Amino acid sequence: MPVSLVESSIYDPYDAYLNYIGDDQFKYKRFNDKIKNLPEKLQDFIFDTMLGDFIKGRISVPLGLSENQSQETAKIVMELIIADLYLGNIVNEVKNRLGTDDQKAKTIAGLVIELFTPVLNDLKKMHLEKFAGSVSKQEIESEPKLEPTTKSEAPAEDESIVDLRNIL
Amino acid sequence: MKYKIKNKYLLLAGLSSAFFFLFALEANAALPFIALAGIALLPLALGLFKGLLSIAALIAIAGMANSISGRLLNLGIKFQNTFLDPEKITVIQTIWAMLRDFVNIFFILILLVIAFATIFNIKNYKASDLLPKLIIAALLINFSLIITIEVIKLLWVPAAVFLKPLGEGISGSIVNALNIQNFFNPKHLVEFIKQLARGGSSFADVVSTEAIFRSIILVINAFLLSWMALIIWTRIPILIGLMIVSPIAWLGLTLPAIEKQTWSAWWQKLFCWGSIPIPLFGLIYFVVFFNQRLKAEMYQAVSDSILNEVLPNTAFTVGEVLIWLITAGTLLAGMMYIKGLSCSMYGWATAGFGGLWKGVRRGVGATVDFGYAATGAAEAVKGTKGRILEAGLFGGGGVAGRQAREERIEDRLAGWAGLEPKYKADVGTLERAGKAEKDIENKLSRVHTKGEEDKIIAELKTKVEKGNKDPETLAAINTLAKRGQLDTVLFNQTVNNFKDMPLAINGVFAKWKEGKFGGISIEQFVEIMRDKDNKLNLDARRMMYGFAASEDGKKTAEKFEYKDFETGIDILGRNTKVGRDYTKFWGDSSPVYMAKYRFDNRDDSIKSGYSEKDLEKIKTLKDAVREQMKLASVKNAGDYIFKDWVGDEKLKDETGKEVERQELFEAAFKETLMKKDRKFIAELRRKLRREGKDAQFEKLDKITKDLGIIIKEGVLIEEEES
Repeated sequence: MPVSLVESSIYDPYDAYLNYIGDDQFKYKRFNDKIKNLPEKLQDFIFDTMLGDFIKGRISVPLGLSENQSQETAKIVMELIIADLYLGNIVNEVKNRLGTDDQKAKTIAGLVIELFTPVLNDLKKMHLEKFAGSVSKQEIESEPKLEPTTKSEAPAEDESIVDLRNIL
Repeated sequence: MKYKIKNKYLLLAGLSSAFFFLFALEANAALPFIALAGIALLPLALGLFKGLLSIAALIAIAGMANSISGRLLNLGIKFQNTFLDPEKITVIQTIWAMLRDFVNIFFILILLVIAFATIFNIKNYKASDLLPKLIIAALLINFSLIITIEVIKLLWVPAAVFLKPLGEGISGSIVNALNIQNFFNPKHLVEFIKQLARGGSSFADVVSTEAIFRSIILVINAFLLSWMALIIWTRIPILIGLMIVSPIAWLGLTLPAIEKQTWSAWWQKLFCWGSIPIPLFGLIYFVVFFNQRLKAEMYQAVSDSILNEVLPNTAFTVGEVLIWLITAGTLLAGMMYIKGLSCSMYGWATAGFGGLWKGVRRGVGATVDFGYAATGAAEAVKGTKGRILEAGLFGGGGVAGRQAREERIEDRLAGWAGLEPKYKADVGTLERAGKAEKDIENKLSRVHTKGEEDKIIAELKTKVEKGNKDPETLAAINTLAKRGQLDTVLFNQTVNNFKDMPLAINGVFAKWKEGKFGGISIEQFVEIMRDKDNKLNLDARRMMYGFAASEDGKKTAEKFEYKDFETGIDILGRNTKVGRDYTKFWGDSSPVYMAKYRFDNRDDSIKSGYSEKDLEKIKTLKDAVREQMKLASVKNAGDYIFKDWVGDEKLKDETGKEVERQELFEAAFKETLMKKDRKFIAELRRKLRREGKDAQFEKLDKITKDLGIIIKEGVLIEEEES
């Protein structure tokens, strides 16, 4: 079921984020600058209606997310694209911000990673550049995974951190 | 003794008389000697008689010449129109028809010439140059005789104005004016005898002075009358000849190589000989009536003056001689100029033709406009004003546009009519400038370094700065314009130099347009385009408005104010190609301007393009803007002019309240977007982001955010209501 104009600020990551910014011009400018600095491929990705439709059709409706949870999911997607959030922390972020259990958070995170399929490499490259200092290179270069296989393969001690190698 | 005896008879007679007289005194036989002296005086008498006879003969011949030329003049005038009427002299028509049929054959040949010239791109012979002329000539050649006759008749009309008061016998009026009868009046004979009786002068003195004076008067009079008669009679065969050869003249119109020798020369001769009676009769009219006045002044006002005194050795009064001198002198002087005057008719007609056409067009236009305005109230007047300013249905361009159109038509007609085009001098300069420009371009194409090129450009600029009005300077201007190097200083210099040569200015603008109006800023462009000082002609301004409404000139359109936009429509017209391009550009670029124009002219369905159905939906300016953008694609919306999105120009709405341009846009765009899907907005965002249109992007974000709220509220209200 495609997202209507009314639902846009709930499911569409860009509109949801705009809605979250409200009238704060400073935040808006910072947000806009970040988008302008993104590679063209990612910019086009942001303004694709498929994102909202995916969030609604594949995440919110099947998983029975509320309007606020859906809006938060859309915001997380947006923050991941502009690299405000580290892709590896997606499960934790979903769990904390949506207030879901681990399993649901991992499912949502897995779906979000699926949503990123067309731009995943670009996204990873961007995250590598941005989070290189705070996260080990190996973690970022590896494919994200939802279920850590062994403790040693986990990027960090925190269990909520997803091994990106396992996502796809 | 002043009088020298040159005649051998007189000398012989004198000597014989003296001899016989002395001999008679001596011989005291007077009588025979007296008789002999009388016989001896016979040669003297004979000589005197011969002299008198010669003078009398001269006077008689001159008198006869007077009489004959007078009659010829009268006859010439009387039969002028008869001889020049092909219906009466049918041979004219017959020969003309033969020649016309012969000339018609050449039209086929000319068509071939045009075809080849078009293929080989030969200047002046291409179809675009010659075909209109050919069609006109081919049609009008069949009426060439009638046209010639009518021109001749037309030129006779003003001549007849002078002729009528002079009466049937025009020579009689001239003779009266010259006082010829009076000079042979018997009272003069009496005066002549009185002169002799007074003994103040010798018989020889009186006779010789009289004879010489009379002879001169008569010869001059005869000369004048013969001259007039000759002109009148020569006019007939020349005009008949022109009638007959008129098809050749029309043929000449189609071939530039022989146009001057045939078409132009034919019209010149037709005007020259056709109009010659106008100055001729005008002169006679003036002299005759001036002469009457002169006589009255001389004999009545100063009756006791010296004017009434008789001249020594003649039977004439000073007044009579003076009147004759003035009258004959005026006639002689006038006769010397009439040919020149009549031949000037061609030049006057050339100028007059253009002026007449212009006058008629303007007169008719003004009458129609006034009539229309007078039929209604203020709205009708407003409508008329708008229509005049607007291009009009038939591709005009308002008042200024009409003038320009008329000028073009005048030139075209003048060209077709073989009359000198108004801008012929300009064309000559332009042609030479074109050659000089090619030379400059060649020179520029041969340079190897930027420095060399800069040097040439600098030389060209210096040349322009000098302010000469020659083809070389024009070529320099055009080169600079084409290369986008014409700054405002040079531009002003150009306009000042060539302000009286609109074709040159147009040429500069065409080149400048090619150079994308380089050398000046966008603000300067708009300033020049507005032409507050009325320096530019309409075509130049058209080029600027046209350029602004193009992809290359879009940045200048950003600087437009609503007034500029409206002026553009007025100048370019809505029904011309450029006008349509202009309105299309603005329709695509600024829904606000276009909607305002249409909304303000909503009472005029032609201007607004609104149907009755549209008007039911469009009640406010905002409605008009919304309707204007309702069919907009993503591309259209993304290409809307910057100032529509964020411009703060104040525009008056339907209530007269001033509304910001962006406000109108925003409100209308929100309504438009409500009817579009998300994809439209997403694509628009993509486009604006890609093109770096930050201001528009931000505005779109604002609109969509508000839209979300509006829709939400709308939904909530609907839900509450339900």
